[in-house]
Amino acid sequence: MTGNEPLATDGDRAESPPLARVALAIASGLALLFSIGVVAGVIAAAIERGALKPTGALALAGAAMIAIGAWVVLRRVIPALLPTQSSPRVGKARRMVMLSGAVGGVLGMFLALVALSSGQSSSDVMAGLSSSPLPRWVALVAIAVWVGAVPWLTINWHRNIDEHEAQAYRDGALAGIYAYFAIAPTWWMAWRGGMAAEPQEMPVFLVVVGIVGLVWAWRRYR
Amino acid sequence: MINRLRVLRAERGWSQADLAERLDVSRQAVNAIETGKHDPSLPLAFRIARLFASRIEEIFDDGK
Repeated sequence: MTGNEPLATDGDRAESPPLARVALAIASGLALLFSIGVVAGVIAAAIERGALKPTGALALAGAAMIAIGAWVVLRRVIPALLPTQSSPRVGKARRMVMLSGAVGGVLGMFLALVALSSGQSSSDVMAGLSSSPLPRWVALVAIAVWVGAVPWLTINWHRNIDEHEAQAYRDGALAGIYAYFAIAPTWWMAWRGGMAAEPQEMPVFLVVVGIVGLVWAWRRYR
Repeated sequence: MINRLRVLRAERGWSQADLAERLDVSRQAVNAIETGKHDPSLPLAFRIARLFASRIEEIFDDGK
């Protein structure tokens, strides 16, 4: 690109994607999540019983085929729904964000399904973001995804974001660390003073992540 | 910092997305610079100046 040739001038006004494509993307996404849930549920049940039944094996095979099909459809449909006019670097950064969301969604659903299959109620599952026990293999899978995928996604995202987004992220991170400085000692002192329950990691982590995300989004999209 | 980015862009009939693609930044970055919410780094200011065949101080004005 020389910088002199004209480009389309309608980039500020994103065209509405065709309804059929949106519906197809949503249906494929739901099918993918559903099939992942089936896989997680069957595996959890098999481990609990110590054996995989033929019906379970069939369900696994069917779910795997649905997942592969949904993934193929999603890969074709989603790019058509996104604004295509961006540099390769910006596009890659955007894909990293989407992939992060997908990894987080799949991991969260996997943990929720495992909790449900072990007999916890759905409200327990939501509350179970705290400290309910996990089977060792589930914890190992979750840790492997967290320490494997997240650093790779984060590094690739940081390598491809522009300076405006980098600044937004730094502002979010700064707000997050100050929130941590405020929340962690306050809760600890309140606990020692008999005014609060014992401090827990996950609520503090979630609040800090929420603050980082909110400040990042505000600085980027305001 | 005030700037003439929106005017220069409009003169060429470019959208924010067009300019963002030429500068290898996001559309949000172009919007933030145009509205004065983000001051570009020196390397990005040079890229902008080069793209519009102008000097940096012909595009950006710190008001002093």
